[in-house]
Amino acid sequence: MLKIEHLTKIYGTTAAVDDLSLSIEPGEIYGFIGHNGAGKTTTLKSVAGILNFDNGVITIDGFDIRKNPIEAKKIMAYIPDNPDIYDYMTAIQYLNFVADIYEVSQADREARIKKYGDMFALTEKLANPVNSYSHGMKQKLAIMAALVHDPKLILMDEPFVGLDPSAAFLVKQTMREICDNGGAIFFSTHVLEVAEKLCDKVAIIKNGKLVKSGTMEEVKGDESLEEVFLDMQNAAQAEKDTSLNIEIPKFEEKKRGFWKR
Amino acid sequence: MFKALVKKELCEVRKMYFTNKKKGTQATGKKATGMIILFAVLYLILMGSFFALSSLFGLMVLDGTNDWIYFMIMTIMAFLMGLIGCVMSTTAVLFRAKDNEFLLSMPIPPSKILLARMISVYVIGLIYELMVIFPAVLYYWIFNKASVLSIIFSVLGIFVLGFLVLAISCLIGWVIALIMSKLKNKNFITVIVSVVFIAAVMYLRFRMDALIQSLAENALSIGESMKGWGYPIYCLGKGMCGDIVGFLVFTAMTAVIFGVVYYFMTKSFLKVAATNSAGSNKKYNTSQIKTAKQSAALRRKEMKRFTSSPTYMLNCGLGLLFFLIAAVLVIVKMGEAREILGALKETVPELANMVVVLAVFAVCLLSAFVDIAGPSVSLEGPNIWLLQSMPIDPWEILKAKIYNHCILTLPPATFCTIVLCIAIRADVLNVILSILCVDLYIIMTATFQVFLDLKRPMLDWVTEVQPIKQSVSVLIDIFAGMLLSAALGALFFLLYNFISSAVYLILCLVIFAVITWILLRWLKGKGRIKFADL
Repeated sequence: MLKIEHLTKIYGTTAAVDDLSLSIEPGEIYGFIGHNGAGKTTTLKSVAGILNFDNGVITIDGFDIRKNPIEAKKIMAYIPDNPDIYDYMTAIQYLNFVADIYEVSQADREARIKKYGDMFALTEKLANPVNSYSHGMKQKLAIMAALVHDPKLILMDEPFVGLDPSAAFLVKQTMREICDNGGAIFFSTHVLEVAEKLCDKVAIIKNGKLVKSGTMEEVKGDESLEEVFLDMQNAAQAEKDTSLNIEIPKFEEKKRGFWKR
Repeated sequence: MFKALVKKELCEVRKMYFTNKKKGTQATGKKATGMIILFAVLYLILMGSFFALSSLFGLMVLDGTNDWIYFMIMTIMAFLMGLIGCVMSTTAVLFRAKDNEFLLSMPIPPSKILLARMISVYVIGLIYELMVIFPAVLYYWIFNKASVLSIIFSVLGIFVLGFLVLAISCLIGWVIALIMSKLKNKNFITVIVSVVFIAAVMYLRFRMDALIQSLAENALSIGESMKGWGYPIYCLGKGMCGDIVGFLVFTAMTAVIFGVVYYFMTKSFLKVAATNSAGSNKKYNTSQIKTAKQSAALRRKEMKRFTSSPTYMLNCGLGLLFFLIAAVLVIVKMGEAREILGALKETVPELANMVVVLAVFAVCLLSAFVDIAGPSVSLEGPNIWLLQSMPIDPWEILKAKIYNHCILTLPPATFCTIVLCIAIRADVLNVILSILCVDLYIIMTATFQVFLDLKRPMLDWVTEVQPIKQSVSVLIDIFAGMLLSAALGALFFLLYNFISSAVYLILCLVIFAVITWILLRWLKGKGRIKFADL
């Protein structure tokens, strides 16, 4: 469904994403984790066709995002971390606009708006302007807009930020349902417990480089995803500090200290 | 803390003009110099016209005894100019900035946030006010024996007057924000209120010549009555002439007005700024789900963007009203206009050939006040990811922006052209050519505006006033439109002996078509890539 080969994106002299390759098959929920500024959003935006990249090839269901951007974008949806949507429209006008652009038939859009509107408890508020919505409601609306054209691939950047627990649960349920029906989801998150429970595969990115990827079992082994992630972070920090000749306590000590608190 | 706030506000103003849009860094070297020169030239042209007006009025009034009347009138004009310059953006700058919540969450007293924002409004008001008052003061210094006190007080008076402009502008902005927080259909109400205000100012401006004439003729009696009921205005004029008491009274009066306005605004700033402008609950039903084609959806989105923002409508669409006003004026005064034209034709027979061209470029000149497409790319702002992530050719997006400008501008402009053609009794060929010329000119300017905004987009704005009103591309759109239409009208004066008006209009049509074609080609090619990369 999604194939990223040797993706490189450079800002000035810094490589935000450095030779990253991964592929996602239909039916997979693929988690993308990494520290702040690791290159997750840059990767997602490159896949979504929002950001031009310096090297590499991205194909969505066989369509190259650079050579066939329209065809590639038709089958995917992107949900950013911050739901900046047209706040001068009402929610239903916004959904209509998105559905028009994706050429969704009247019957399909009616059915999907009803389904997801009821699911997220937004139906009653659809005639209200977007600028009256809270952050969480905007996030729900952005998710509804992403689902209104029934995409095969969904890119989500921190999709659970701002959602209440019940909405987060519904989103997770919907994500699984989409993948069970042959779709694929590539999403970034800092909530490692969610990633661990939800994802079929996971990739860890550090300073723009892919450091580990594969099925959840392959990546974490007997440890928790959090431990794997913190180990990696700690190793990177130790490497950095050694080069600066600073002595640091070992991870086990730090971890124990943390849990004690 | 306050210094940092002021610095931030002034940075916002500076960012509009001197930022390298590609790199996000401050423009330096040739680009910055170019911008400064461009602004200076435009500003000087406007100042020159007000210097001419000052000299006209000065010759009638300045006699050494009634000089205060000269200053009184010029400061009133400067005050109105300052008010026009900043009143329409005051609400947005003071109360609707995107960083409201961020700043209010910090340990900064709301009064200081307000004051810092007021300083940026003060600077904008001062820029407009200076356009009028500085040439007036300069004229007085050059052609009259200005005393040292007069020089000092007129310089100080300019800055004090800026505070009066600020206070009244803030008061209007505050009242609008207060009313808007309680009303439905606030966008149109704001536009109507503002249009009424502008109409009042325009009426005064149109009547200015008659007022000046009347003031000059009755200067003494008016002066005497002003000393009574209009004492503060009298003080203002006297102060600018060097009268210390007059100056102090005016300064004190301004300080009181400003203080009162500031006090009431600080009291309600938090309430107004934090009010969600969203309005009430509306009922949803499935009939609101409607299908449209991609292109129609994009066009509808552009129209919605325009009609949802009073700032956008007032600053970029006010020219639409000018077409209608001009057309109605011509219809009402058609008889008189024809009489004058007939008399002129008898005296200057060449005018018969010229008048069609002049009418066409007069309409084109009015279209310079419509720049709906001008900030349309920049207004995508933080939402740009939406269009970029959607399966649409960027060319379709740009086309929708041009279309929106044209669909709003062409009908009133065409109507105005037809009315003018009827008034001047143009023949059928000239009527058709005039309509084609005006319409193609409007399409060309719309295309140019999108081109320019795409070249210099401002996507990281804090309030929408910045791309709508303060961006360089919008400024260029307006002045380039004015200069081009005036130049094309004037050029015919040199050519009317050699070619007929019809031939000239055909030549213009060809030139407009070629320019439009080049711009459209750029937008369809490089422009499309540029938009995708924004």
